[in-house]
Parts: sequence; C-alpha cells; structure tokens
Amino acid sequence: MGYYHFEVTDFLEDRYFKSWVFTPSRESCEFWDNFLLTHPEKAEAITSAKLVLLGMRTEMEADFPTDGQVTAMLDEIQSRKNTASRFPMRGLWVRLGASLSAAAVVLLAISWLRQPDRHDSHVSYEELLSAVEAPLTEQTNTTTAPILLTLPDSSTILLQPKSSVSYRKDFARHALREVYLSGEAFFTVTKNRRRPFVVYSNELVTKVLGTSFLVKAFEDARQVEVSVKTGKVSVFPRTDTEVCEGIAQPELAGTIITPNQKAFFSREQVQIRKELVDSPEILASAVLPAPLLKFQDMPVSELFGNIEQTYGIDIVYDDRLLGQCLLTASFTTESLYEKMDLICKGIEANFEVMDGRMIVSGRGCN
Amino acid sequence: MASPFTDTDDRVLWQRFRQGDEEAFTLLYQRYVRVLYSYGKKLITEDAVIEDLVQDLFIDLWQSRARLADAESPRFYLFRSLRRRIHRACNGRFNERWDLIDEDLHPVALSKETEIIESEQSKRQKDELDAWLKSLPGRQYEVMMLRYYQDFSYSQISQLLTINEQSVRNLVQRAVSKLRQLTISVVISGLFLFLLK
Repeated sequence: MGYYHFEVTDFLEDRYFKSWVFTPSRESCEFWDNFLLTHPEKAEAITSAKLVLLGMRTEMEADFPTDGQVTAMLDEIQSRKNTASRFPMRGLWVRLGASLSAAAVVLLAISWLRQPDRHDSHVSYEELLSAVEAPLTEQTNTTTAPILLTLPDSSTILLQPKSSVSYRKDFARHALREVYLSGEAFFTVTKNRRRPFVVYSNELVTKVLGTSFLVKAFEDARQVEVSVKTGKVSVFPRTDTEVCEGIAQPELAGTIITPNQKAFFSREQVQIRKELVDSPEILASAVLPAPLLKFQDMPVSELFGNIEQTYGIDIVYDDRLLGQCLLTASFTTESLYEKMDLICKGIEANFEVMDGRMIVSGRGCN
Repeated sequence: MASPFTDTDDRVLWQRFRQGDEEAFTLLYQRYVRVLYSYGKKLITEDAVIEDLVQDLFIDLWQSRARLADAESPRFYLFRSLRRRIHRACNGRFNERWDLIDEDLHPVALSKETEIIESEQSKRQKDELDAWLKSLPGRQYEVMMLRYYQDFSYSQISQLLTINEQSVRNLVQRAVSKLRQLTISVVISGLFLFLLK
C-alpha cells in the first residue's frame, strides 16, 4: 500500500488506519510499528492523525449517557411504544400553557398598575420581572460573600452580595436563556449558538453565545457596566427595538465587546461607551500567537500586531510614520500599559485609550 | 470505524425489527443510543431535551415499523432522523449558517499553568490538537466528527446536513488546514516516546 506518501488527511480517511487506532489488533499493530520503522518521516503525520481520531473519540465519549440513563430511556420507550397516543406529552403542555397564561394575565395586570408611577426611562429589576410571562426562580445573595449558582444549562453565576438573579422555571426548554439581574454578577456561559444567553439588567441587555463576563447593575447606580473575560458579548439598550427583535438569532448585533474591553451604559443619556478594562490580560488561547517577549530590531508594526492579537485589542497608528521604527527590548511581567509605555518611549510617541482602542501618535523615526 | 458493527449486521437487525422482533429493536437501541445521544448533545445542550428526542425517535420507529423501507444503512437512517428531530425541536431557530459566525476569539479552556509547566513535546502536541478540536467552529467540528469518527461518506453527510457535497468537503478542508498549521510546529523528539508505548 502507498502509505509512504500519505498526509494527515489521507490517514484520517483510511479505513485500515482508523481500525488500528480505534480497535487495534495484533496484526494491525505489527503492520504500523513496522511501517514506522521503515518510514520514520511519516511519524509526525501518523501521530497527528491518531491524536485527532482519539481526541474526537474522547470528545464523543464525554457526552455518552450513563448506563442508568440508557436503561431508564429504554424503559420509557418500552412502556410508551405500544400506546396509541404518539404524543403523550402534549396534554401536559396544554395544561401547563393554560396555567401559564393565567399567571401572565395577573402579572400583566400588576405591571399595568405599576406603570404610571414611573415617568422616566429607568427600568427596575422588579419591572423587568413583572413583564415575564412565566414562573421564575429567584436567587438573592443576602450574605456578605459571593455565592456560586449553576443554571440548568451548566452555566454558572457568581453572585455578589446584595444582588439578585431570576430566571424562568422552564429555563432549560425556553428558546432563549434569559437571566434578570439586579446588582453584580460574573457569568460563565456554556456555549450554545442556537440558544443565545441574555442578561437583562436595568435598561441594558447583554447577549452572548458562550463566554464569561461581568455585569454590574445596581438599582441606584447611574451606569451599568459590562466587562468581558473570554469570548464576545453584545450589549444594547432595551429601547433598541431593531436589535431586540433579532435577539434569538445567533448573530451578535449592538455594541460588541471583546476580552479586555468593558462597556459603560449611561442610564441618563441611554448611551454606550467602550473602554479597556483596568488591567488587560493576555488571552488564553491556543489558536492565537504567543506574546513576544524578546525582540531585536523589530519593526514596531509587527510588535503592535502581536499585542493586538494577544490582548485582543485594537491599536491605531500611522503605519507610514511609525510602522518601520525598529525596537530592541524584552518584556517580563509588564502590564499592557507598561509595555505600551516602553514601546512609545522607544519610538518617541504617545498613546491614549479611546473608545476601547489604543491610539498611538508620534512623529516617526528616520 | 468507531462503530464496530457493520452495515450488514445492522441490516439484518433492521429487517427483523421491521417484522416486529422486539429483541432486534432493543439491540439496535443498545448499539446506537450512546452515539446518537452524544451527537445530539453537541447540537442541544440540555440532557432532558435530548433524552426526549431520542426516546421519541425510537418510539416512532417502533410504531411505524410496518411502513419503513429497507435501509441501506440503519445507522445513517437513525442519525438523519435524530438530526431532523433536533431541527424541528428548535423550531427553525436552529441556524443552518452557524459555521459562518465569526469565531476568531474562542474561549479555550487551557490553563496558563499547565501550558507553561508542560515541557514534554508529545503532551504539548496532544494539547494543541485538543485545543484545535475544541476551537473548531461547530459546523466544521460536526463534519469532522461525522466523517472521521462516525465514518459516514461525504454524500451521507451532505444529506444529513442538507448542504451539497462540495460544501461538506470545503468544511473538512477548512478544519484540516488549521490542523496542518499546527502539526508543522511539532518536534520529532517527543514522538519516540509515543511510539514506544
């Protein structure tokens, strides 16, 4: 067989190779050991292909149901498979639906009564809750330490003192994963592109597909703050109807904030402003390049490119003026701001932070 | 290849099941419930929803057995039915274009400590590949998994995802091109450790 000119993908496609990886036999082990001895240059491709296959198997097996689940599901199938009704669940849903709409009428009535006493645009947590047409589960942190909550989709909420969150009792089955927040909480959201995760806090809506981020929204505060640790989130005022209509779509609209950025929402001006977080961190990611630590006569454009990628931020500068400036330096534990300081000193430039971006200005080097 | 059962074995079971053989029905269930469930979990995260969908799939299968045709590959039939059910359960909100969503910034669950401490090359390669798998956009991952782990043909995958065959190949291509960039950086020394195992 012509395995000696195989690449990783060819191995992945090859049945004989796959059967060795997934269900090795003595014969196949002998064959591949032998092949590797005679073609050591193929070791890398073979290792990669093998690891890819085993990695996929591990991923799949991680989600296998337990034996208990398998048996329970089979019991359920056996007991229902010979009944005439093909939709035994439906009765329950109709009943549930009826009681839900009854509850909704009551809630709507309450919110109607409450409306007149607020003339400003402020929306309180209570008002948010009263608009929900479903039974809610509420958790309030009355202690002095943060508490960790786990949602039915395995997302977690680190709820700070004097803060509350609510979510629908049918959270797991609802099209959107919706959470209402009063106060401060750090969310770590499990990834699910088909069910966006939405946090309502005062007048601000934060939508994510799977990431971790912090929301600060106290009732009496003048602004709402959202900062991102990993992934991407979109924020928009509740009054932005265009974005609100597309909320179930996986596309992120509104103002997008990425790691190391935060958004301030001014409740008075109904305006969103982007800033960098106080101490930006290097993103933990295997798909991004490693941060440059030591460099010699390196064009500054390359260095800025690396910082942009590793911190996930934008650096704005005039490439014609500054791009070819050369720098030699090494970084150890400097923060992003310290690094930018050092670089700017080296090329006689200044930098400022505006709208979540770094703006570098200087006269250039000759 | 992940499935040790051949399509021929399955077809025998399928025929017996269509004639009302409960044992064959249970055997089919036992063979495929795990991979089906796990596949569903990749598309919908809630356990309860997947459980319901898988149960309903088998209940409907039993109830309509007399009307079912002979299946070339019962395994493919089961995967396709489950995927359609998931699609329907999501009420069309299931987005067919989710692979196109900009996915540059993946939260990757690699702690910095393990990355730094880990010096053994083969372990690093494994981590890189794991991270690569995890970082694949959903659709690319699904196609890789169906092609390389479940061993479905390109034409079967195109029917499963209701996209054309070329798109399936493109998705695999895109996933693999990222993999190539990774493997180039691998050093040979660690490989011998792996080979000696």
